[in-house]
Amino acid sequence: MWGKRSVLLGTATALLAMTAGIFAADAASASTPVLVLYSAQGYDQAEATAFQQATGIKVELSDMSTGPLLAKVQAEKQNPQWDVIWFDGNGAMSSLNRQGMLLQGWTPGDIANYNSLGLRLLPQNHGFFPTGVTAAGALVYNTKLVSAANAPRTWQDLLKPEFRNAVGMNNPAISGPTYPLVAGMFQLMGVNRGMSYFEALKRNGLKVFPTNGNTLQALLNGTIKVAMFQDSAEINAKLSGDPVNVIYPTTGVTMLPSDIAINAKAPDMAIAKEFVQFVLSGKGQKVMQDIQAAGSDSLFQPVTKVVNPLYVRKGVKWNVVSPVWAGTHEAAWTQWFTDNIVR
Amino acid sequence: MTVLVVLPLLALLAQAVFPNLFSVPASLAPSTAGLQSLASDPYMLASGVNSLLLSAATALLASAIGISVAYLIVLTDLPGRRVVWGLVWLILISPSFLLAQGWELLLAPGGLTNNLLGGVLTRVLLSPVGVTLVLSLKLFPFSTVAVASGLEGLGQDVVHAARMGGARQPDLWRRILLPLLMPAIISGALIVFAEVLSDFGIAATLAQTANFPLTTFSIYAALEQFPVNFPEAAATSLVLVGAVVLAQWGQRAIVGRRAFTTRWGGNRTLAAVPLGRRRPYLLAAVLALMAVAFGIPAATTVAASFMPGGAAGLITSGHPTIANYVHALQIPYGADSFANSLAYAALAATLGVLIGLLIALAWRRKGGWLTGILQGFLTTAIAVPGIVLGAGYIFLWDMPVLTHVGLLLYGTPAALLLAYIAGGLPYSVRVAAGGMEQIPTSAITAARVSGGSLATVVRRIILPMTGSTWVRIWLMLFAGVVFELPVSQLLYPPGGPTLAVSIVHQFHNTDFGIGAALTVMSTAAIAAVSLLLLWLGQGSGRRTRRRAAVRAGREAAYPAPLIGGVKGEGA
Repeated sequence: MWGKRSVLLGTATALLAMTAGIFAADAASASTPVLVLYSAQGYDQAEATAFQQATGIKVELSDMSTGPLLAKVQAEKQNPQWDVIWFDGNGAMSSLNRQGMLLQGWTPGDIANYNSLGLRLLPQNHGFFPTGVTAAGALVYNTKLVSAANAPRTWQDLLKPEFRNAVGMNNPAISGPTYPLVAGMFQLMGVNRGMSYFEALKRNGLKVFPTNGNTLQALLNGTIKVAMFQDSAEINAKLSGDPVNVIYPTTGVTMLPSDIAINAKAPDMAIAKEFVQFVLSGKGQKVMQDIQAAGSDSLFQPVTKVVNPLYVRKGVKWNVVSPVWAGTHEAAWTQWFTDNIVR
Repeated sequence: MTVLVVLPLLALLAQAVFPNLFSVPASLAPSTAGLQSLASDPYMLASGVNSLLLSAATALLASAIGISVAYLIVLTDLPGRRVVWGLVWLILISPSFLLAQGWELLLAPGGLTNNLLGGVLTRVLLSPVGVTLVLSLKLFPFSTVAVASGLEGLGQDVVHAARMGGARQPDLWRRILLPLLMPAIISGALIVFAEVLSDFGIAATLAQTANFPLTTFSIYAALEQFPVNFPEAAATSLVLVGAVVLAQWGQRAIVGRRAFTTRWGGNRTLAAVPLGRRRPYLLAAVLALMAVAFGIPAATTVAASFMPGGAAGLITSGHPTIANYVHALQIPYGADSFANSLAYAALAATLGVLIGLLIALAWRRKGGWLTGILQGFLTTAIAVPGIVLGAGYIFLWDMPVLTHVGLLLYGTPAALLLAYIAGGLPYSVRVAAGGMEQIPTSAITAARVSGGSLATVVRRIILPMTGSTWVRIWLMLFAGVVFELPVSQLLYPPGGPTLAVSIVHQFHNTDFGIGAALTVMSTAAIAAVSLLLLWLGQGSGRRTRRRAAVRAGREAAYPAPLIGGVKGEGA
């Protein structure tokens, strides 16, 4: 009986110590200035740690998927708590920019680091800053189920009878990078023909999964043979030895920029600027490429001259979608997709 | 409780009618657009009906499984009862994504079932029937836990007495066990019902593949699209709230206002009910159930955690490796997030049990319309998906007004803790109330009449008689918090991630193997804590019960009027 009691006592003490831990950590941070970062990037933690080491400024990171991140930012609208936000997809970013929620007119010191792609993606009012790009969707197929000769080369190939019930993609209402893929198709093909294309895919048995992970899993376990989702996740699967191959259709793939922005009413404006500057520096860009720490997101195409890509995308043709155009239609087209393709 | 559960829920739900309540600038202008889109959309209507049917069917099936298992492990001489109890707990505490993932893999073309049965099983399972089955296998422990408490209070004597009186098995169930256990059964069934209504994991995966749209999916879609559609999410959540209100009316109709005292002084555990010749078959059936409900999906994830790529689990060829585990321990916040979650879980469970006890006590004393409404609200809160509750908390706690008065709750560990307690309270109060129903009012009245304080009543009567129930509630809350995702994502204090946040981050990075390794390690750790506590709780529970029985026996020697109106109460 004594034995049981001491076990119980020991457990209770350990739990109490841990509890003290979570509250103490919070209390300690209340006195010093901290950067509050909301991010949906794989490399956010690595970047926060590096910044902390370089500057001594503490970063409090709130990492979550893009969907909850945007819901949180909008629910906090009356009383925003964040200094910096960082996620993929410039449609939502440019919409927040137009609503005046982002700091405008500020130019970071290392803006000269941008390459031509970076300068092209930078909005005129400097409301947000591109930090890298990926393709919102490239073709990927399971090499055990599809031979190289039969692999799809174009978007139209997915409508072939041999891919009936064998094509998968993510749900744009759930997966962050997928709305840009849909909007990109609409821009490439024209809205009406783009809609007809997805309807034809659906007639051919298109399967819609929640996010990159589910779709990749379905591809690997044979539920589907071909898929289209964010190319960094596709490349990462290939590099980690999964039986897949990535194909960039010759008509082009939609560019998905990752953007970082400062809150117009940032509680800690000075360090927010310092952080953005750090991300765009050579050191910050290198940290984003630490694939051990950051996973597939590290396989981005750089928008600065200070780093080289980890993976060279051969023969890729980029389609750049106007964020304002995509952003204004986002609610309607996501709804259209939900009503006509998901259901 | 009002602050914890009612206000945050209202903060979001009110936006169904006042869409600009928390906009900049805020406005009280009402609009019915959200509700109208709901009523005019056949898909929404179909999802609502599907959700309702699925919840009802799952509640029935899960209760049937749960009651049978509880009977076998509490009253009979089934071999390995403690092991079976342990497995029931493992299923209860396992994160649902672990199980969902296993099922997905199992049902995939080229997966196990396809090879074995030529796709017949796949077709059966990828349907509403399959979805019901999978959910029932995950959720039946809620029913087992609720019913086991009732059965323990009942004791084996009842069964022996009935058998001696010539009752057959069906009579025993129909005329004695089921009627006596009704409150516990209904408690368990209601939790399952509400759990299914708010489930997202299966709604987004298996149900989607089976072309079986569910309401939670629409709610998540409305909340995660940009710009976010709070009014639509609120209006849709109202459907779920309505469903639970209906279910609770059903409960009232069945249970009525009868009393359900099953713990009285004299029940003893004389001898286990012998199963006789059916023993080996029943054991085989229980073990098969555990294998299907837990073994297969868990094994899949364990296998994935040892695979190099990890995403494909069993299918990708490659040599097993422990690299994922090594990596999982090295990633920033991997170990920290686990410690954070343990601390939150322990604290939330402890406070949840205490508050649950207080509420259950208060209800026992008063009763009446206010109790009815609060009780209704609590179960309703289970049916509302976590992300809705989380958004409600942001609206409420991030109000500029609170900043002006210096109440900075949002973004602190305290806010997340409060949200966890609020999330656990419905379970705590539901199960606690079921357990409390069984304590004879006479025992409490007698103690109070003879001058015992409320504290004495709790210490000497309620805790000894329902001790194991509280241990189980604690564990239920603990396990629920450790792997909680939607509320954690929205409310965790920046810089202090929780376990589920960490695991999801790994899945986002498509590091499935590391995510699986984290899941396996944390599930194993939680399982160890749970089994330890159960072991501690079981011993002391049995001891104190025995003591209480002796005490009650002594009291029974006195004339009845002295210890209160035994006969008259509760009629």
